[in-house]
Amino acid sequence: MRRLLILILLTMATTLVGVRGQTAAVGLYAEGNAFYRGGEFAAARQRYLAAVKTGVQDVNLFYNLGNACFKSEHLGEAVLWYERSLRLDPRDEDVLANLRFARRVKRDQDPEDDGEGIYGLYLWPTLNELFVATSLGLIGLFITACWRLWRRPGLAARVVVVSLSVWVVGAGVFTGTRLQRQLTLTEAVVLVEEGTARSGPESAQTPVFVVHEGTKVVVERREDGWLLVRLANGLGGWLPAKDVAII
Amino acid sequence: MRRSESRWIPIVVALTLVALSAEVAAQNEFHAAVDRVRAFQSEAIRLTLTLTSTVSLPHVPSPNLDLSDFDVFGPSVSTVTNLINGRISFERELVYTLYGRKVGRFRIGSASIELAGKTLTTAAIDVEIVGRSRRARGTAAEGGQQTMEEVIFVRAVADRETAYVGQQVVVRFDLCYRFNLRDVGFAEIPTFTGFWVKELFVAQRLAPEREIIDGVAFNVAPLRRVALFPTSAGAHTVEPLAVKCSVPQGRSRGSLLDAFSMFDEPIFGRSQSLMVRSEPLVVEVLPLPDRGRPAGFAGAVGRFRVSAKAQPLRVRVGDPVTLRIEIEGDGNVQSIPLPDMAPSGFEVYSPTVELEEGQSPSGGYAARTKLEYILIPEQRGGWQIPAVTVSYFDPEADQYRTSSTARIDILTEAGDQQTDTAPVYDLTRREIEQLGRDIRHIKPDAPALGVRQPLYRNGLYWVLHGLLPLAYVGLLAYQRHRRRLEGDEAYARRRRARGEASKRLSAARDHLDDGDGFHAALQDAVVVYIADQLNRPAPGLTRDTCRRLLSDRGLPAPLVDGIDGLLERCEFGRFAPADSGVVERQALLVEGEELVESLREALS
Repeated sequence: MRRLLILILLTMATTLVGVRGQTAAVGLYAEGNAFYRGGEFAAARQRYLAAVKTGVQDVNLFYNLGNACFKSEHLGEAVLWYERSLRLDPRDEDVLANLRFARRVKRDQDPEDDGEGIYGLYLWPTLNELFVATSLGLIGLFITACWRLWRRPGLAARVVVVSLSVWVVGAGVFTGTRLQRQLTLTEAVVLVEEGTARSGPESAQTPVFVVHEGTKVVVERREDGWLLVRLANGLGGWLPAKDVAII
Repeated sequence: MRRSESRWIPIVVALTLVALSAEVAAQNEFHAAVDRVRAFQSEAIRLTLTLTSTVSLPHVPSPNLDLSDFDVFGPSVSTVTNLINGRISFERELVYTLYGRKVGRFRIGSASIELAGKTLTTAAIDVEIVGRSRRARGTAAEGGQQTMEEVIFVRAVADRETAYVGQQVVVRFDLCYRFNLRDVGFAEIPTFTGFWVKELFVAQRLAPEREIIDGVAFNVAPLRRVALFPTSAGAHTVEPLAVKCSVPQGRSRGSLLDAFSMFDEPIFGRSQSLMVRSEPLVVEVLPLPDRGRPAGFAGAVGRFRVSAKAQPLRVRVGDPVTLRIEIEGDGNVQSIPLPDMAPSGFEVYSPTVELEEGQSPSGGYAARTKLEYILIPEQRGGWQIPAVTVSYFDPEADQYRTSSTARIDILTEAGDQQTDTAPVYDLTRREIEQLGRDIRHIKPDAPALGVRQPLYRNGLYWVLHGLLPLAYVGLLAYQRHRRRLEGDEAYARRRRARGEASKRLSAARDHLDDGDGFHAALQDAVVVYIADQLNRPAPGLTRDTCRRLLSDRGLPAPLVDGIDGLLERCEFGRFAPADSGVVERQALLVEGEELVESLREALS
């Protein structure tokens, strides 16, 4: 009984902290917007960053922070926050447009294959939407199975069961591959104006290539404050971890 | 004496080594053989190099062999170990398939191989390659001595024998044959030296049609069709195209394949490899005439048409105008240079170029170049996009022609922003559409911000999914229970027994003041309960029957005695109700309830 009471109190405390954090984040977000509209982009960026530190994960907040970073000439950070916004809502037109713009302005030109073709279709739904789609299929199968307990299954019921099964398997495989991608693919954005990737995780190693602010890379390994990153063209090299930020 | 003996030892050793080396040399043999020394051009000659040794041959280098006069396939390598009279020998065979390139006498050079520091050489072999002109096919058929060239050949046909430089010549290669073929594949593809080439058709499988050639029915399968554009004047030769295939064996005489009755001979295997070539074609290429050559002519030969369209025709300063130009025709459209677009009053961005290739109605090569320019008006006013002109030589009319577009008028008006304040990027049309001039504005204030957690990290989500199969199992059990209640009377009575007993015991409690009714109700409750549990009809169930049935079910004797005693007292009470008071009846009721409960536990 005492344990249950402690658990309830802890839950309430966490909820209260969360609500307080939310309220604070909303206030900081509004302040950031006011600064942005007044042309004080650096101050807006500070407010947005403070809002992010409360633990809030919101598309609009990340997007506005990306804008503030862009306007205050933190191009790498701008790309980073646009990319983080896309993780929450991959179809937000404003985010997509500004990310394209930021990619054009930066020095290294990435191949634009993220949102086009079959790969674009693959990335179109969010992971949550895929999970919901799979769940709906499962619930449909459950209801049909329950219905079959009372009613003799006819042709229509069989068609429904087969369709739902195909749906569940398809959605499940789709969801599984996307989940696997999310859990295994670590992407990062270069934050420094110019970073030199080396052949090993030491400053004394041979420089392999140079990347510039805003370039998206795939992180393959970490070692002693260095990251082994790979560019879209296949080139790989070690960058100091402080020069990049994980999306 | 010892000194003289020791003097002989080196001599003996040396002699032994010499003898041994001679033995080793005698144990390696290398020789060459062919299965025929006279063959038609399409017939395969099998050259077999055999290396025999008394020691194992794990690594044998490739032999040096001059086969420059032949098309060579292989070698296929096989190893055989022979044990004859206790002596083991190892044999390695390299089999080459050769096809003569030309008619005449040729020499298969001697093959040499380095083995154990020694060079082994085979003898050279002379072979004769004979050919027969297809013109003689009819004559030979009448004579009953057909050759392979007469029943299978590659036909090369050009749609013209004379052409101008740059004029399209369509060459077609067909495989003509009279019997079933297997493993058909290209052996040699012409390089078409002296031509710019466009492939029009390449066969993925044989799709033959019947055709009478020189009075003989053939299967004719198109192999390849190419459009050739001569790059210089003079006689240009289209080299032969060679096809390799196999002919199944074992045909009976008297069939359509009598021509190949020679394959019935035991010397052939189950199929015979063939290689057939087309004959070279010569195209006479004429230079383009100098007379009437326009100034802008860049070498396009054929028939071409140019069109242009701009949108919008009325635009604000700084807003883009899209100019689309299409050049199409049945010649090498790529030989036409891109128009140099520099209309005054506009900033012109690099065009996107798209080439669409296809075939003309006559089966030749046709193409269309689509150009898309972005023009940004720099000042307000009326402007003109000049006409685009394409000059070409029409070989059918034997004269130079020109195709032109009309001039396009564009009216530009004052824009919202002056062009000198707009950012200038070196961008293509697509980028202009995508970028605009600035990033989009921030999102508005919000009453709440989301704290998003992925569903797969939400425990409740997985709990709900775990409940689905559990709920289904529960429903399944309930359904089975209901069906059993409907179909299994004993089960239904057992399930209802306790409830029925409770009702009857309640009735007995209601009759505590009525001795006769109480005892009847209590007896009824116990007896009906036993009847329900044992699925027996209650009316015929006497005290003795109850005792016997309960004993048969193996119930403990004290419980059976207790039930029996209770029923006895109930019977007694029914006939002498005045002998018991309410207190006794209440005690009897409690005892009855306890016995029913004990009975339920014992029977469950």
